[in-house]
Order: sequence, then C-alpha cells, then structure tokens
Amino acid sequence: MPFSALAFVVLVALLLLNVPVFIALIGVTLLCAGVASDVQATIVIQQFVAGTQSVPLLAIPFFVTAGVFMNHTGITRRLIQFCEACFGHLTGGLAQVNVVLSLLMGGLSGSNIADAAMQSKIIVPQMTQRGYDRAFSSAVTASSSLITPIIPPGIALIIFGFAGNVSIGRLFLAGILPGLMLALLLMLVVARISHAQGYKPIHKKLNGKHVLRSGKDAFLALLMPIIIIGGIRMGMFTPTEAGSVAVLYALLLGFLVYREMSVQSLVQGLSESVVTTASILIIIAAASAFSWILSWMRVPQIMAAALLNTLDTPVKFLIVVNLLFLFIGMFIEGNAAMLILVPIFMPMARQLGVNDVHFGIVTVLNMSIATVTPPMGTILFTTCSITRTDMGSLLKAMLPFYGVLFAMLLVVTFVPDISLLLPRLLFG
Amino acid sequence: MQQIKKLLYHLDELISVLVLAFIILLTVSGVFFRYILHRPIAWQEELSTVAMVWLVFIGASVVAKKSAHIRIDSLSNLLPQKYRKIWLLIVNAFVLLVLGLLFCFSAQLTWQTQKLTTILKIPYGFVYMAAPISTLLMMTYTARDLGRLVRDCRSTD
Repeated sequence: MPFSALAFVVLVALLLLNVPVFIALIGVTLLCAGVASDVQATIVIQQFVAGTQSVPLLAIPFFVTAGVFMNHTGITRRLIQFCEACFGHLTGGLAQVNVVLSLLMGGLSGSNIADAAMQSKIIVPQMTQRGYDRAFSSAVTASSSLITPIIPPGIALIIFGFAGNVSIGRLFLAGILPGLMLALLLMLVVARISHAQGYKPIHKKLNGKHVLRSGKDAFLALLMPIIIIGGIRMGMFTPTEAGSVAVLYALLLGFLVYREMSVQSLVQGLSESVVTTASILIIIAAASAFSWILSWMRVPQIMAAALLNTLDTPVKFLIVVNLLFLFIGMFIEGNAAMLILVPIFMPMARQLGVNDVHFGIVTVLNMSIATVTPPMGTILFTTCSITRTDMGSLLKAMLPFYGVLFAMLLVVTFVPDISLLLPRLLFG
Repeated sequence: MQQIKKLLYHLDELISVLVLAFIILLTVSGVFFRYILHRPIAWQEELSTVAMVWLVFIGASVVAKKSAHIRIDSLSNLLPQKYRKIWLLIVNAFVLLVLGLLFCFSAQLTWQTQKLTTILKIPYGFVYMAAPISTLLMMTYTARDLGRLVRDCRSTD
C-alpha cells in the first residue's frame, strides 16, 4: 500500500510538470512493474495494447467522427439558426443559444472538448461583438459544454459502462433528465446575469414562422438522437454500432440532403477525428494498463477493506466518493481517472446497494465538473486558448456556474430517481 | 524524391484515416448483415478491435507530429520564458526516455508472441506491431521538438 500511494504521488507530480498524460500514466505503470513486483515489462505493453481492444470503446471514434462531420455538413449551422429562432428573444439571447446548442450538439457528438472548442470558435466571437463580456461568454461556453458528456451519446458514459461493466444503453437513457435539468438551471443563471448586465435579445419577439422554417431545416439533425436511442432500445444495433450508424447518417445528410459536403471535407473530417480519437484513446489505453497494475498490487481490495468499515451506508459512501473523485479529477484527466477509479469503487457501490446506473451518472457528472476546475481542467484550457481569455478572469466569471454545477451534483447524487426514471420506464 | 519524402511524412495520417474509414464501414455493414440479411459476420468484432489498435497507436503518432498530446501546461506557463524552454527541454528528454523503453519492450513483445486470434488466425505479432512502429515515430517527433527547443534556447542566449 505505501508503494502504491507513492505511485499516485509520482503520477500527479509528472502530470503537473507538463509530461503528456499518457506518458505519465504508462511511465508510472512501468515503474510499478519494475520496482514493486516481478511483473514483466512485456505484460505491461500487452495490457497497454489490450486497453484499446474493446468493442464498447469503438463507439468513441464513431461518435467523435459523427460530431466532426456535423460541422462539415452544415448541421451545426442549422442548429444554431434554430436555437436563435427559439431563444433569441430572451434577455441575453446569444448566451441562451450557447446553452441550448450544447444540449442539441450533445445529442449528436458526446465530446465536451469538441463542443467547447466549436462554441468558442463560433458563438463566443459573436457574443463579444454584441457587447457581451469575454470572460462571461467563455464561462457560459465552458460550463454548458458539460451537458454533452452526460446526455447520450456521451463519451464519458461509454467509458463508465466499459470500466464498470454497466449497460451503456441504460446509461444513455439515464443521462437525459439530468442533462435537461442542467441545461435549464444554466439558462436561469444566464438569464439573471444577463438582466443584471443588460445583455440585449437578438430580436424583439418570438417569430412563429421563423421557428417553423428553421425547425424544418434542423429537423433531420434533431432526429439523430432519437434514431440512436430508438435503435438501441429496439435491439437494431448496439451502442457501438449506433455510432457507426450516426456517422453514416451525418454523411447522408451532408452529401444527399444538405449537399454541403465534399470529398475533400470528408477526408479532412476523418483526419480531424483521428487526432481527437487517438489523443483520447491513447490515454485510456495507458490508464487501463495502470489500472491493471493497481489491481495486480491488490490496491482495490486493500482500499475496499479500509473504506467499507467506515463507509457503511450508501449516503456516506456517495458523499466520500464524490469528494474523493472531485479531488482526484482536479489532477488526473477525467476519462483516465474513471478508468482507474471505477474498477476500485464499483464493487463497493454494488455491495452497499447503490444502483450501477445511478452511480454511473453521479461519477460522470462529477468527472465532468473536474474538467472545469483548475489545475487540470481540459475544458478550461480549450476555452481559454481559443477565446484568448486569461485564466484568472475566466475563473471569476465561472463562480456562479460552479454554484449550479455543484447543486446539480448534489441533487443527482441524492435523488437517484432523476437518473433511474427513464431507464426503468423504457427498459423495465 | 521530394514526393516520396512527402508521402513518407504523411504516411501515418494516411494509414490512420484509412483504418478509421475501414472500421466505420465494417461496423455499418455488420449491422446491415445481421439486422437486414440475418447473416451476422462472425469475424467482424475481432477484425475491428485489431484495426482499433492500429488506429489508436498510429493515430497517437499523428498527434505527436502535431505536438498535440494532452498535457497540463498551466504550471509550467508560470515560469519565465527562458526557464520554461529549459523546463520543456527536460520534460521532452524524459518523454523520449519513456518512449525508448516502450519501443524496446513492445518490439520484444511483437517478436516473441506466437499466438493467433481466434477466428481469423491473425498473428498477435501483427496486432502488437503497431506499438513499436508508433513509439518509434513518436520518438522521432519528440526528438524534432527537442531539437527546436535546443535551437531556441541557443538563439535567445
């Protein structure tokens, strides 16, 4: 146990010293294999490679590709127009569009980094042009991008399902209500701040014709989440296969319906997807090797034995696990952290009678919040670097949103029905 | 000659894009064969997970080429410009060391493995081969970054 604690310290130190995340993870794994035990280094490599060889994880390149294609097919633009038509008349109209767009895009792509990057590029410049504070615009973008991993087809949900051996179809359904609630709460905060700052609506009144026209344009794109969920529910395809169907659907829309895609943009999109996919999955591969060496050193068992004595009720367990995950998520990239922590805590959750799917939504929301907290906040970095906001003023602008996020985490943690209602209704 | 050089430089991108396109096609046709034709392809999963290894590892080298691997730079950004460069120099040297170890061990694994996959009988050596190739490529890109940093440090002196 002292050695594995040391391994964690070395890992966090390497990460903070600017070593690439996957190098830090696999480096520490090799160190553990070399020092603590007689594990052969080639077995570590075997685990490293095996970390990518899984069918559930295949869904990640698929949904990433689908999301990238959305931007090349003109789907994103149509969704923005639809959001503007529906919410542009509210105070702080563009900020509200920013939130709703995350909700809609989340139903298509599932990567919060991709969502934050896209909105930082497209919506934030429009907002600052219309007199919105740059830090506020970036804060809205960063916090609303957290909706994407929670609602289907969120990549974090896929990774949790893979790491904890939980039905990804159920997790997808469970995320819908918390995602909607989060969007609604964020919209309320945005409305309050916009009133105080006097941010103007885009247009004066809600125009029914305009809504219908842009809605017709966006309809086929909005159908996609329904196809994904429906297809999984009816047993037409698995969540992984749903990803490939989503890519096909985006291509059909791009080439045949909207006709905005070319062979060139297809190749460009694929190459963008390769970069995003590989940078996520190489970390996951390294994290699963690290997780393997931890279980080889019996860390999960030792931790469980130490914790289960004191954490004897689900409530205590959830509180402590939430605090611990938030803390660890501050230093270790969210997806990697889930791969390391879920195998340790899932058995404990089951033993205490915490529902798998509920635990999944809590973990995913928790780890998503960790992406907007310093020092390891991938979403903060992405947003800052694109919108050219300095970290200090962004963090100040984030304060009211942190309030919403933590309130949401509390509610989701202690009201399991929010997560479990839809899966129970549809899966029984 | 120039053209061959260019092709070689972009080879990893080409391979990973083709593999990604291949997995997507394979999985979509898997749905078609099972759900529409009721004749599932038995070897589909096996082949797509093998392709996934190549996608991720060769893709990781593309990410390294663009110097875009995810890392936390908020702390090292606090250092003054000159020290930051020296710091990055040390970090990159460490990365090179870990990649070197990974290359040796993965090459050894590729060489040793005799196993075959269950259905298609693909040698596991081929599956693992993506790792030494990827780490070797990443080493060259890290060495390139290292060279740039050394030049930068010299010119600012």
